[in-house]
Amino acid sequence: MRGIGHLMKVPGSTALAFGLVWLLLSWPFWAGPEYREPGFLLSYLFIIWIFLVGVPALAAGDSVSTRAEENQQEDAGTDV
Amino acid sequence: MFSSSLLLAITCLYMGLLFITALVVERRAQGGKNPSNHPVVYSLSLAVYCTSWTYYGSVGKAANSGMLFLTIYLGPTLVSIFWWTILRQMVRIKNTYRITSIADFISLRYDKSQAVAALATIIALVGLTPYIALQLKAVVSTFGILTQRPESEAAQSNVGILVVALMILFTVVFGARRIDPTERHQGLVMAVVLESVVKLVAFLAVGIFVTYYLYDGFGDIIARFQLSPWHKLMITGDGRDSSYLTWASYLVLSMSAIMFLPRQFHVAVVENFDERHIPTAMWLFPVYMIAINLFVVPMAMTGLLSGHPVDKADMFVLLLPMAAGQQWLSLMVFLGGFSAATAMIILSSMTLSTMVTNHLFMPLISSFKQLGFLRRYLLPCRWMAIALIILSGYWFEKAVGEFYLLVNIGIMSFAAVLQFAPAIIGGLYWRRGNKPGALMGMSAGFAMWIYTQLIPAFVRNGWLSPALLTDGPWGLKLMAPEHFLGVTGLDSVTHTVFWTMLVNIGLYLIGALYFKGSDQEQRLAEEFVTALRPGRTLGAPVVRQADINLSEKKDLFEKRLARYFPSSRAKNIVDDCIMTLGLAGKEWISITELAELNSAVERSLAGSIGAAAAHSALPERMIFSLTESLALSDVYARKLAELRVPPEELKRRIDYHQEREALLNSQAEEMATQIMEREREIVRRQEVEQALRESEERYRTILQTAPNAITLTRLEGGQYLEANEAFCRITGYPREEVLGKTPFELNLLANPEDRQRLIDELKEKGELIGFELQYRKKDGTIIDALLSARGLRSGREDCLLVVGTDITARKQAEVMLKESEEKYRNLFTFAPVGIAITAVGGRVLSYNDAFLKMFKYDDKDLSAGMNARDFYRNSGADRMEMLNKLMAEGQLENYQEELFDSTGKGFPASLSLRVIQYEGQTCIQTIIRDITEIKKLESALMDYAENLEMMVDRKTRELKAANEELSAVITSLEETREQLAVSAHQAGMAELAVSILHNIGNAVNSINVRLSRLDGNLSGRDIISLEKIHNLLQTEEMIPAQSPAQADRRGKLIKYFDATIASFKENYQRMRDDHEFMKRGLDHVIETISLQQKYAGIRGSETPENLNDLLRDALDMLMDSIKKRGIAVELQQNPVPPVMINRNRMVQILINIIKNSYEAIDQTGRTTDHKINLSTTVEKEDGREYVRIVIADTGVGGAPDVLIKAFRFNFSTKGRGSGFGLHDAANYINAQNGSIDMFSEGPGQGTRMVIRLPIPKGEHGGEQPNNSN
Repeated sequence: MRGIGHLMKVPGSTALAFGLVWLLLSWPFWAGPEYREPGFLLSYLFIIWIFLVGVPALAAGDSVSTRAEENQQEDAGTDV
Repeated sequence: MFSSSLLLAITCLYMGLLFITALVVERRAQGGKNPSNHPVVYSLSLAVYCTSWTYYGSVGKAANSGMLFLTIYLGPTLVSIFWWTILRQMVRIKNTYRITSIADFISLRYDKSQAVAALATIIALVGLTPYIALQLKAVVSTFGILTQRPESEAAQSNVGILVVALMILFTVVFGARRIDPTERHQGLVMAVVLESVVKLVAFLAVGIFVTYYLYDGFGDIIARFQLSPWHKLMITGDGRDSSYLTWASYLVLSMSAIMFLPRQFHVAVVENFDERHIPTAMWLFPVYMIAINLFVVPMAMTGLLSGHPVDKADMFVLLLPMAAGQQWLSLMVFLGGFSAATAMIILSSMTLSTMVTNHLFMPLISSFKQLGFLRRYLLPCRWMAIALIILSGYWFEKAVGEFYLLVNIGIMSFAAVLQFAPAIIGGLYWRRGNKPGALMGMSAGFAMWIYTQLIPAFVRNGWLSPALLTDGPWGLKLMAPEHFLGVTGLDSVTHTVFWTMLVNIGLYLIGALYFKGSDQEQRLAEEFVTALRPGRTLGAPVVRQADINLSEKKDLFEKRLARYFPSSRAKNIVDDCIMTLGLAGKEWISITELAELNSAVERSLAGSIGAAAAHSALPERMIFSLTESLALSDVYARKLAELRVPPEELKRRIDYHQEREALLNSQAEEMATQIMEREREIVRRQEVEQALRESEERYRTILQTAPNAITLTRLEGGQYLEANEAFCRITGYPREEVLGKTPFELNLLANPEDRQRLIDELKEKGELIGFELQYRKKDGTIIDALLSARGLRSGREDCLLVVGTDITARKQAEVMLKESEEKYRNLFTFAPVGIAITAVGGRVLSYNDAFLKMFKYDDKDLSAGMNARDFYRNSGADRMEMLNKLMAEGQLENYQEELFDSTGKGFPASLSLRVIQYEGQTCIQTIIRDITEIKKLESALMDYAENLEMMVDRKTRELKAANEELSAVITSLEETREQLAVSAHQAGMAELAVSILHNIGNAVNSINVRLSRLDGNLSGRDIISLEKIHNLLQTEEMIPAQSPAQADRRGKLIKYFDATIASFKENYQRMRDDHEFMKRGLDHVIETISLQQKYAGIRGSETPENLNDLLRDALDMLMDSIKKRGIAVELQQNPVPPVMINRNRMVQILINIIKNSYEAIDQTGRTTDHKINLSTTVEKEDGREYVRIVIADTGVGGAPDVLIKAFRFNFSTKGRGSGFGLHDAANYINAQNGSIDMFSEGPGQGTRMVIRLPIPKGEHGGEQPNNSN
């Protein structure tokens, strides 16, 4: 999870994630009408949604600890 | 279902609960314990995104468009990926610049432009009005459904107005009680969190109920739905509005909305306590949205399966539990929806009002000075803004909302807010983004939004022609709002997103590329773009707590110093530093205090071992722990951030200041000498200032104690800046009432235009002296004042110094003087004596009419120079003599001199002379009286006086003789008095005599009564009867003489009768003589007795007697005589009280009067109309009561002279009367303080005797009336 946390801080990686999710959300419109049936689409979208929620949730605690480490490194660099 | 009042009460109760929650949180926050400073609270506060649109509209959208509704929530989830960068960056900028709103944020980035802020505010205001309308519509609709009110327009209107009023009230109470918008609203945030929980719980409750109670779970519902005819409705992408572009547009809109909706910006950025809360929000907020959307599709399907119409899909959430008879669940759903709506309305209107007041209202009042006073009413203006915003939303809902589902109204607002996105995103990540680009982009995007979203809404509402949508304006189909430039195949929302973003982004780029921002803007752009770079703070708290143990640090310092000094010395150094910094006694210190202490100890140490060694001796890592180092870095970073200067600029400035420091040092010595000089100068100035102060004090004392009124006023406006005590005393106003006011406000000037007149004259002359005007005192009295005025400058103002004197008394004296002069002039002119003012030489200077008349001059003569010397003898020699005397004595009175008129005729005159000053020279005022007549009178008087002396001598002699006679008489009288004194000694003897006299009187009275009766019997009627018989006998018819014998007998008989009659007459005459004799003798006795009684000083034996009884007694005694005469008696007796009277005397008086009455009747010779009326009454006169006896007869009456004489002694109309009866009666009755009067209308008219006798005091009433005839 620490890796995810690091990725979350990289603008490029967040943009990539965003694009990926966007594609996933758009896929039913390209795949055909049967994939836009309420029964399927509801399940599909909720799965993606949970995924979307899960990653930040896992990264959240990790990101705080990462920030503390980062600050310590910065402090060490400035210490005489 | 529920009644309106009950539902309203529950609603208010719920809001009250929220308010109490907010209040408690705010109070705890003030106490240092802030429950809202928590990542969960922060995350749930973001759920204000889920408004009633989510609550009701999602189900409606799902029923119509399938999964499209999810894009509204997937978008925020998608964008949350970037929150750690974007949101954190915004929070940091907010912390640095204390951002209060999204408009503030955008304007800060673009050169702190007011125009950008105003534009952003207008976009937010116009764009969010439909959104607020949506919330109101939801509340009003659900209120109506829950109360099952007939959906009449009036009823809905009433509920709507009520809801609007409540919303305004709640917003003001929750969010706008204070004016400082930079403060966080911890209480409000907590209330929003509570509402988020309520609406989630309510929605989940109804979702579970529908899914698991009405059906058997998701699978059951979906399976049934797939078999239903509404199945196609929910296939996403098949509907007109459900293409992929629509899907993508909704995603973009929702992504934008979660970041840039003003209320979302407020809770996410402005209310953020700590950026470390953001990661939690990144997953917790999407979880919330998943939860709240979990049952949307089942509920939409259930609603359709249950037969509810599709156009009511917005209300499925409420209709389903209601249809199932779940009242309390319905109420819960209502409260959830109400929570969703109120949270949105309160937050949105609060943030919008802040934007409106800060970015529209404040610039406006800054531009117009006349509106400057409104700055003091900023809070009421915010309240008004809140009210207007909510009312505008209500208006929109009433006007347009009917034609839209909830979700469509909301998406319209999302599209408006999207116009912020290019400016904000560009501002955060692109340095070249600038103000012109932002202005052009947002303006164009907003205009396009109005054209493509708002105009169609107006068309659908009927305000504009439908042809506008189909044919475009003026028939230009290319300009059709929903098919702009011929773009077709896009739904309305996608169309708007496409065109607004195209023009917005396009113009933003063009502006950024073609214009260059100012230096400040570039610095700000650098700040924004590099907000997250290392070296910047990371969520450190603004205020550092005192959480470092001082004693531990003190030990640490002492140990480090102990390497160089003895322990006691090291301890002293550290203690001194602690003392100097004011940290003594503290147990805990903050990081900044620790840093200061470190520097102080290092400086102390440097004094002994040098700066470099001292710095090495106290390494920072030894003194500061890692956490403390971080905190210290944070503090420094914040300090730098507060400077708002880019690092390069900061470095440049530091270099500059270092150079400046060197330069300053070189100048220091020079400055030191100058300072010495300055100090001397300061001493001199102080002395001068002291002198000035003393002078000012003296002048102030003079000012305050001056007898004249002194004021200092502003030339423009006229406000009093200073007024002394004399002014206050004269006008009657206390000083504190005067200062700051104008004369007009005090109504001080009797003529308000006088001030302008004064100023005009002052401007003309430069200085004004002797200006008169009238003041009105506080009590209304008008006074006259004489002013001197001068203009002067006080500070930067032109002022007017006015010194005034109350001349009311002088004015009055002048008036009196004028009157006096007028009087003197009149007196001088019209005086009957001659008055002239002459020069000493004699020339006549002034004169009056009498003077002219006296000397027979006319004006011409005098004006020709006539001289007073001409009036005197010997060419004025007499005058000179008189003047010498005048000069010696000062004035002359009644100086007599012979004067000569113009004709040369002399006349004696009396002169009064005064020396006066007239027209600047010494003159003689002469009053001349012609005393010719007086002289004549004096002569006559002298003659008369001589005669008078002779007469006096004669009269004196006569008087002397008379005096001698009088002396003799007096001597005689003295003797008589002595004799009387002797007699008085003998008076005691009289008492016995009186008693005897009384008894004799009583007896005599009885005799007198008998005599009176005898007098009646001696009337001579018997003789008259005999004479009649005698006459009859003489006629033959009576006794015919048939024979001589008979004739002889008749002759004898006649002779016998003649002899008998003669005998009778003789006897009768003798008896009458005897009677008269006796009567006279008796009267004499009675009179004698009476006189004796009188002389004896005794009024007689008066006893209380009732006059009715006495009158009846008297009448009884005379009744025979009366009856014999055929006289009718009418007796009318009224009740009378007793009077003090001598009974016998009074009976005798009454007898006399009654007897007089019938004798008067006898004298008439009439045979008829014989009447005597007697009456007794009580009458009152002069406060005293009398018994009144009236005895009236129809007798001969009396002439006036008879009436006058009737009571005189010895007067009688009867040939044989003694003339004593009435006289005696009058004497007696008068002696009893009564009266007796006699009245008659004239001869033949009868007589009326009236007797009045006083009733003794205390005697009232009497017996009953007794009338008889």
